[in-house]
Amino acid sequence: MTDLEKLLGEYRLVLGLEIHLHLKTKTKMFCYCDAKIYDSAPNSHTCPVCLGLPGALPIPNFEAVRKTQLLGLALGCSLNEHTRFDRKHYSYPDLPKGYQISQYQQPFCESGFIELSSGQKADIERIHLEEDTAKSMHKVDKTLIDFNKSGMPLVEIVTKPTFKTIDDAVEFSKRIQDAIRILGIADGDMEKGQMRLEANISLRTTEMEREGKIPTYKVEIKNINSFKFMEKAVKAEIIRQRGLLENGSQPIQENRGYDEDKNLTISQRGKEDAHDYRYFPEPDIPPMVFDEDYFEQLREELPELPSKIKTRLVSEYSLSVKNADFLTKGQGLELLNRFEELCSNNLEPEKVANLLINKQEYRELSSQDFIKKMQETNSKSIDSADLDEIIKSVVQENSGVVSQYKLGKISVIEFLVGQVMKKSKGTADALVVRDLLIGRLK
Amino acid sequence: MQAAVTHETVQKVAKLCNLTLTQEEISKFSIFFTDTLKYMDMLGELDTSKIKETYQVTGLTNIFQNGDSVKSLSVEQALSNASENINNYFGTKAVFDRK
Amino acid sequence: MNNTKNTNYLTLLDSITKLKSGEISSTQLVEDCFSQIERFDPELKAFIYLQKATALKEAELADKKIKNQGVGAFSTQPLLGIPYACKDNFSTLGVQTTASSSILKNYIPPFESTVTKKLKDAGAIMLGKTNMDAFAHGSSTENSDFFPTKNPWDKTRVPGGSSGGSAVAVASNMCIFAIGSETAGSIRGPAVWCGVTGLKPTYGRVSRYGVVAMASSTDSPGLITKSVMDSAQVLSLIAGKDEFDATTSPEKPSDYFSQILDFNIKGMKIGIPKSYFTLELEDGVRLSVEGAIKKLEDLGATIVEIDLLDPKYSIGVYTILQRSEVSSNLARLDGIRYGGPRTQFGFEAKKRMMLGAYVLSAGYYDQYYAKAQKVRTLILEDFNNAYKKVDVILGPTMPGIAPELGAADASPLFGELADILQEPSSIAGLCAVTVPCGFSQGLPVGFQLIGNYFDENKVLGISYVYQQHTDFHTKFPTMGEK
Repeated sequence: MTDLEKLLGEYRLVLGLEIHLHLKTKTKMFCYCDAKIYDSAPNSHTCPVCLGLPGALPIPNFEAVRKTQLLGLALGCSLNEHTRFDRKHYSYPDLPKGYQISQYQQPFCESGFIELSSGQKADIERIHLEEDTAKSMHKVDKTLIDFNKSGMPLVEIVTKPTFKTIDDAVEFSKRIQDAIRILGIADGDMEKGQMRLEANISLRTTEMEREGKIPTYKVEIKNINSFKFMEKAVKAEIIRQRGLLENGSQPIQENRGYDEDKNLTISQRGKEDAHDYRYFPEPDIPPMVFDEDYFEQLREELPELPSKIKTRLVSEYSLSVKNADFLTKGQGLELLNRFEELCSNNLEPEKVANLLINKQEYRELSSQDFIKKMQETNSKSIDSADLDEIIKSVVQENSGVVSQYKLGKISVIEFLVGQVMKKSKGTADALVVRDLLIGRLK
Repeated sequence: MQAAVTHETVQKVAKLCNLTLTQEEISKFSIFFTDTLKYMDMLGELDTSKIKETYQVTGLTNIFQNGDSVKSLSVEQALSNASENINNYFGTKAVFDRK
Repeated sequence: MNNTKNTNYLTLLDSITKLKSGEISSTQLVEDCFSQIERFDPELKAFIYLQKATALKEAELADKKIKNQGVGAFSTQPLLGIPYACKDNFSTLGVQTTASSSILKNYIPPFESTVTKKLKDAGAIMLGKTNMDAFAHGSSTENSDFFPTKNPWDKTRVPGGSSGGSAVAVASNMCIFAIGSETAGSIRGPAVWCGVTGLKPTYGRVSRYGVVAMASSTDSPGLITKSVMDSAQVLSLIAGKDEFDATTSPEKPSDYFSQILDFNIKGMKIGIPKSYFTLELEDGVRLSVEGAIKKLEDLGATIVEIDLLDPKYSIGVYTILQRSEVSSNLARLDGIRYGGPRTQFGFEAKKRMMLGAYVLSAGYYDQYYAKAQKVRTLILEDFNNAYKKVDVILGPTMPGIAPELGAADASPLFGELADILQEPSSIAGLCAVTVPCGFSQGLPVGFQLIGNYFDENKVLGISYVYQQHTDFHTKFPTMGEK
């Protein structure tokens, strides 16, 4: 039984995500302000539009629109031919116009999906584009506001209540991060606030799960700024909801915040109950219409995405699934180009992958040096009979250490590996030596 | 026909508008609303079941930024009308975090 | 034009001609305007802000330019040295822009509206900012948070609104021309009640950038002038696509002025909507407008009776759309970045925001907002069908003459009812001109010509021909003078 299953007891998790991403664009979403706002002095990147001055009008940024559509295509969404922006109204000091320009009825992208390694399909409901709010900081008696972030292009990916485990949700988010980096449309640095998550959580019975029924409530946890935070927050919320359900009451639909110190989620109800967004189509921005030719052009522009690359690595290079997987996600993606470039020199792909993945020093080498070093190691590499001989002698010469190992002090194995490596003058593979030593000392 | 708009509704709407109303204003609005809605209800006489909305009259589509220029206000200009300037941040009375 | 009169009585075209010939100077124009302002404005209260020193300095520079460059200076700056009055909802860099509201009383924009920038680039000199109904909410200029403006024809009457200050400034010759803005009647209304020419361009013809928004989907900056030619002249300079207003049309503006000079009215079909005349019209209004129709027919136009949707439906549509957009557009005033606290909003602004929020709130959207936008489609189609048969549509601009001060308080929809004949064309975003065509009880009456999208040439052309053969537009209030 996994940790999660223990937490859930007889209930099942229903989890959906809303992922917010800053797009990488030259100017902000609706004004001509420079969008390179990170680490700048407060209120140094504003204009009448993103400050919401009277009479200022929004002009949409096509670069942001196109990048949103690219993301939609990459995530298997269908793109809407007719789209528009809407005004979403609420009052808060970080929202300069008293409304946010967002998309309500006609988002750019709808219904996509990602296949996860668990075999589950994660369904995306929609992807829309909006403007970010300003940044507010709360002091004891004052709230300070910096409008640099106001009007930054913000993409929102909304999933269906599609995840059954936290791991799946985390993997989904990481896949999104990989996709935006490959597409070059965003950096998704969570520490800089370029990517933020919101989780919608509810619990259902196994019977409901069998019948595909979704609970009638959901609890939204906002402002999740790391994957660790998400895991902890969702777990804390599961415990709370399970407690309520087991007592026969249904959790209230509301927004809750996660308090890391107390490891509890806390209701933000009362600040939300007046919400009635009064959406209407943004009169300052003409609607947008796109045709199939344009979408086709976008499709041609679309770079190969991680899941496709992985399949290709296995079929084209006969690479092991493990290595192919490594090279197509997270940090491994940074090695992918290097790998393909090296393989074009007729090197054995699996070996190249192993060296790149396991040996830091190989990553920094130029292609020529890499090939040279790889060949040297190959020619130098000791044959197994010689290696056996060395191992035998090291074991004999270090009988004291060997007996310590046999008494349970396993860590001394590293000393023996070191001795063998020394004798082989570095021609042996440390991992292989380690395995051989362990075998011999059994 | 539209029923009279209650004081409670008026107060709810005032909250949406971020307005604080006096009791007298609430009473007045409740009457004004009811009167004004009569004119709006006149629209019910027209059959619009097969009619699409016109949100904009220009017929324009796909109008975007020209993209080749970047321009902002100076920090000083941005804050020139601020009710409170605290180290180049806009200041306001403390609000609870919505998030 | 009486030669003994001061230069502030000149039309725009005459001012330019005389500046070019050296007969007058810009300094003289500005000084004469200020003499008039100082004499009459304490009572009429058209202006809420004056910048005499700045204006005189600019006039001096203009005079120097004219002296150095001669007539050539006007090829790049066609309005060089011309003093104008600016409605206080146009953002002016470094100059207060209050929209006549207490909440924006201390607001000084760090940017310039596109229209005032274009006027500045053309060499025009802003004398000051004119009074209006606060946030353009009203049709009498009594809703200014500061003070009401009075009608120069009869100081016990309203000048109309919301661009009342601008209309009064023109009618009382305190400036050469003025800019205003119209959402539904805010230019045409005060222009007709003050006996001057008003032009509401097609929505999207003139940039809204920097104009304090009232109802975004109908707001149209425009002109109040002493003649149709003056309107045509300035329109060419302020019209056009703006990279700061996504709703401006990419269609190139014409040179309206030269287009109307040889405008041929013969064969022009003028539609007379029956429903605009079956309304309760003041007798004098009906008589004068019928006189104007007769005159246009005599000048060669063909008069065609047409059917248009009853304008009463426009009241509902307009009220819903405008209140909704107002509630949204005024949400930005939170007193943090500029302006005072929301408690400073006047009653009218609160009333409009409240109603707008109500009709947009959950459960009412379809009943009100969506319904209004559907009826708007019917109104558009209605006009579209009309323009298949006629070139322009003519009707009274206002059903009555300027009422006494205080009349607006009597009805929660005073403006909406007064502007009933202007709302349909505003909702549709059409262009319109109003020109004076007579008097009733000593007060001016006017008719309007409503043109199809971007048919400014036609409405200006026909009304220009009308003014060539009538003299109503040359009459100005005596304001107690002999």
